[in-house]
Amino acid sequence: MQTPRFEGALPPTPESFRRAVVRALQKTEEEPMRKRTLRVSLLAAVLAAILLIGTALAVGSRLGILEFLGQAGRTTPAGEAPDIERPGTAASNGKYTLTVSEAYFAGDTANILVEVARTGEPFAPDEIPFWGPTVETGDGEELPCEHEERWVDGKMYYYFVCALPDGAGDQLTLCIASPFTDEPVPVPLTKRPEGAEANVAAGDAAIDGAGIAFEEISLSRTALDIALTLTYTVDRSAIRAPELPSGNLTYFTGGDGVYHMNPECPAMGGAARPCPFEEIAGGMRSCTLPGCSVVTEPFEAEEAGVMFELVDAQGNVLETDGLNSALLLEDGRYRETLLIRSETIPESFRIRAFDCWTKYRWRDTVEVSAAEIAH
Amino acid sequence: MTNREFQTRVLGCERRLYGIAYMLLNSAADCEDAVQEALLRAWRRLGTLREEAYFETWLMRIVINECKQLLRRRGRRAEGPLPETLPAPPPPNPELYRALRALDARHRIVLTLKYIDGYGVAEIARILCVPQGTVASRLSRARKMLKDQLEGGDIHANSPI
Repeated sequence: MQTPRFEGALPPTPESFRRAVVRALQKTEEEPMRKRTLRVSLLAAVLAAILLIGTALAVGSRLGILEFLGQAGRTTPAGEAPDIERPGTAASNGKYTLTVSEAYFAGDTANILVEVARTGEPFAPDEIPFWGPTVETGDGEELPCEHEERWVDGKMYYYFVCALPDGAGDQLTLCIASPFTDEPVPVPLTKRPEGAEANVAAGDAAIDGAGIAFEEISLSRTALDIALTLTYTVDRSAIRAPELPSGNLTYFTGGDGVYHMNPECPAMGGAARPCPFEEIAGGMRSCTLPGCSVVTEPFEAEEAGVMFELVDAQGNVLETDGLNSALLLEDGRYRETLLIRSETIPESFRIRAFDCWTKYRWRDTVEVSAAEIAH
Repeated sequence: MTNREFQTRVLGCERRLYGIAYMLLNSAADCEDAVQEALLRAWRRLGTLREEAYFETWLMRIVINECKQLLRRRGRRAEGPLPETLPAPPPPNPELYRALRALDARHRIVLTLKYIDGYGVAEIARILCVPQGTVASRLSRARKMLKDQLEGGDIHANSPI
């Protein structure tokens, strides 16, 4: 069997490209590696934006319109927790308007909500671009973030949880780069106000069988949803790989191997032994290599094989959106944010660990009291 | 990583850098601009690379971001199919080239990274910052779309796609 010559799809690398690469590499010899610095112009722009926003807030407050604006489009529990800082930074390229409607840092992560509207008409679901906004520092360095995308009533929402460099906090200037604006949009990051977030862990904050130990569990309101943030460590050896074939999992060929998925865990996938393209491209029909069968394929569960479910007193699972996956912090801990899609949340609920591969749900759960934030 | 090591590793993946940049930008001159800028940016940010083993996927991500920024600056959208103009010199397999170009960027990118650049699904997931399952399902869909595009034409008599 011949191997498809995919490389034939590309024109030969031109000599001018090689020269361009060499020129760029020569420049690197002259330029030392830089530590993170903030672009002075961007810093000035951010300061100007903060001043403008501050003025607008002051005027808005005097005119009494902020209360109205602050409630528009919010899905939050009833309660009297302090309002979240709303920087309101916006930019438009004429066709789209991008608004940073929430931006704060809490410890070593930043939470940012971006809203994108189309000028004059609703944002259609089929125009969602293949790449969305990214969060960058002032000098153009992209921050490691997990994000959730959501289309709601003609607007796109992007919710980011980003790992901040050690000790960055309020010293850091961020901006949002996206296909929706011509230039990155500065994000004035503020510290989360006291009381807008509550630590809600109670009892034994560990799920023994799952090898998960929670260090911090906090609940907060966002302009989009209610966010439960979990900071934890994982003993990876506790995550078991299932024996295949498993009735729990569906499989498909995914490019370099057979993939076994649990549709309940869309953010996760487990790769099997890689197979040559020509062996798997026909849906395994032509698979003849040893170990290249859907029933004999060795399987390695990913380390992130455990998801969390939130369960109310009646045993109902709350509707949540996880971000892409847990964010690995610099110190090796994981931070995961679950966005609870609900107008209100129960006063207490349980966090239950769920093994995506075996579909085992641990009985040991962590009780969370939401009273502090919801009421 | 020393500057010499940086240079060696960049030259080792030069072809792959060109491949992904070309599939996104459709212009050799734009590829040069984007990759040059990306290399300088990568060198400046090298201190942020936590594991050298991930150098290439890290660099690829910077290149893709630079291509996106270039598209944004020029007011072009990358998500739709690109024009079917053949570059000069033309690719050895113009039919496959046209079929790939007819795909939307989301699927074109995963096919390019996988079958032209040779990355595994886990690496592509790291480059594109999406879950592995998403990459795998996107690849699966992209292959079907490519097959549809090629219907009537054959890239290879025995090719299963």
